Amino acid sequence: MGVPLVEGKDLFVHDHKVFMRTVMGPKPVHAIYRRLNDEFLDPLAFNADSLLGVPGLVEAYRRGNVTLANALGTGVADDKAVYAYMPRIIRYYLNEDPILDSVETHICAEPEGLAYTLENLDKLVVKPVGESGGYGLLIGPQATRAELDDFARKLQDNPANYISQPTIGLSVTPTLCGNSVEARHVDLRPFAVTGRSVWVLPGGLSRVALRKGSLVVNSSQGGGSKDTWVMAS
Amino acid sequence: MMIVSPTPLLSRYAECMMWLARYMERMENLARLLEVTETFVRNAEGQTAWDSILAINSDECLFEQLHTSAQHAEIVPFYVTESRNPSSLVSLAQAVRENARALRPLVSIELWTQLNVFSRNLLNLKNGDMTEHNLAELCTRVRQDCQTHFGIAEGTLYRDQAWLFYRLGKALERSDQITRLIDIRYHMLLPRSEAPGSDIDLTQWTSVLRSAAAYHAFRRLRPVTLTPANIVGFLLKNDGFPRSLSTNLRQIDETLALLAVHDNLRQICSPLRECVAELRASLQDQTAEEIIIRGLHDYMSWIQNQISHLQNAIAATFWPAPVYPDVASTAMADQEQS
Repeated sequence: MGVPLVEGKDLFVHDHKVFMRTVMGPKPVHAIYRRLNDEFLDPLAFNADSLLGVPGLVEAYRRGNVTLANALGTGVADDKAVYAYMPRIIRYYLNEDPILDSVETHICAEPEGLAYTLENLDKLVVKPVGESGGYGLLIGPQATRAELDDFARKLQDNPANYISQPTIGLSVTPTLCGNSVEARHVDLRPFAVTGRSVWVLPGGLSRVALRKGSLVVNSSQGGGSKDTWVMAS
Repeated sequence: MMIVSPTPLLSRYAECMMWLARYMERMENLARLLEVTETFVRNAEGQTAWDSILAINSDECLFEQLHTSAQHAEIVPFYVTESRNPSSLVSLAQAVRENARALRPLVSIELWTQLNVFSRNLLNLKNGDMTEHNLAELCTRVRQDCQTHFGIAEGTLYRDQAWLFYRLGKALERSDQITRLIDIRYHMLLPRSEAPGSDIDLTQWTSVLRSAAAYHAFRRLRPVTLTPANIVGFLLKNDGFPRSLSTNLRQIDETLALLAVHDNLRQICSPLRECVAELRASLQDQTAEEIIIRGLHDYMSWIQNQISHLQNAIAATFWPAPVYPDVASTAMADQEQS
């Protein structure tokens, strides 16, 4: 994308304006595409112990001196219940049908969704709506009876916290495990950049679950990554 | 030829580039010093003068803190595997790794790969791996690994501002190292009671040259006359020898001149260049004999102070410590490297 890759300590705020620390002196910064969670962005505004953030950034943002993408609070769009509404959102804004279908998603906050999920718990993947990193989920086909019963209780206690989806049969790929090559599950995350037009990056993030049989590819759970090529033809 | 990049170099990258070069250079020097000391350097009693390395690095206090008795046998591990000693090979390997990791977007894959492998090897060293028999072998390998690194850097690093900070770091470290070496070894070999010009121990003086990788070059220039003043003069003032003080001061100046070409850097660089000009002038104005008669130690100390002042001035100019309002100011402050 041709923008400098910076860390929190490469930026500072002076007079409520954001600057980048360079050998040519401070350079003004007007827009930041950030990969930090809200709570680490600015120790003066949120988590005071954060060493990753930029002190004063949020005040500069409030005064309109810097644009943050994604804006503060956009984490709400990460709520997994949004999956279920995607076809309806596309229809509402574009009056079109989705070209790529999403995985069928049941919202446990809705009575039919909850009933369906409880009935088919051993076939479904159930995920907490507000979590990420592969935490707190249930993979029905791989769970024991006791785990299923336990999860059913959690689900009934707080149905709004969950969605469920059919278990996807992820592909496998040859993976170096110790001294041998074994099959491990992978997924592919493509990236699309939206500006005046939309283009898909000619590559992607391939994540691999390093534990045998596991369908959880998240790096926070010990997952790895694979080099990914897109062939021209 | 210098490439001016559209986005200016981040201060953090400049700092890491400089310290990457400094630590690599320091590691090469230390490996060579250990190697030469083991083979050649002897004290008055004819024993290996390991403690001269402590003096060269000004590490006597730290060594005494970590060891109740100043056992010579403990000096080698202190410089190889002791992680509490910031100038040991393992500590330097760690420091080099941290800087190189931060520089991953800037350095070539070849540079990172070589550095990754060799620093890992060093970090995995155990005390048991290091016996009297294989110290020389280990040091030779480290020295060659460092030289490989410098070769890869020369052959693959993109010539933009980052490269200039790398060059600055290398020349600053060489300037510092050569003055330390001369200072300590000269006074070890020439006690004050002994008059300059009396019989000298050729092997010991040759080892000073070897410690600076200068033996061959010196012999080409002076096949016959090996005197302390000649050696001191060569290491301080020879413009053709790549590790001499004068060569490195010249390189610091040339590098600052290249930096000064960028937009607004001319003014910023000028106090730094004045400091280097003063050092160079003082070196040109005196012969080695004059330096020795006026007091080699004081002159070496002055140069070391000036170099350290220059390092601090470069840091204050290109990566000034951020000033944060009240909260968490100490925690946010950068970790100083040295």
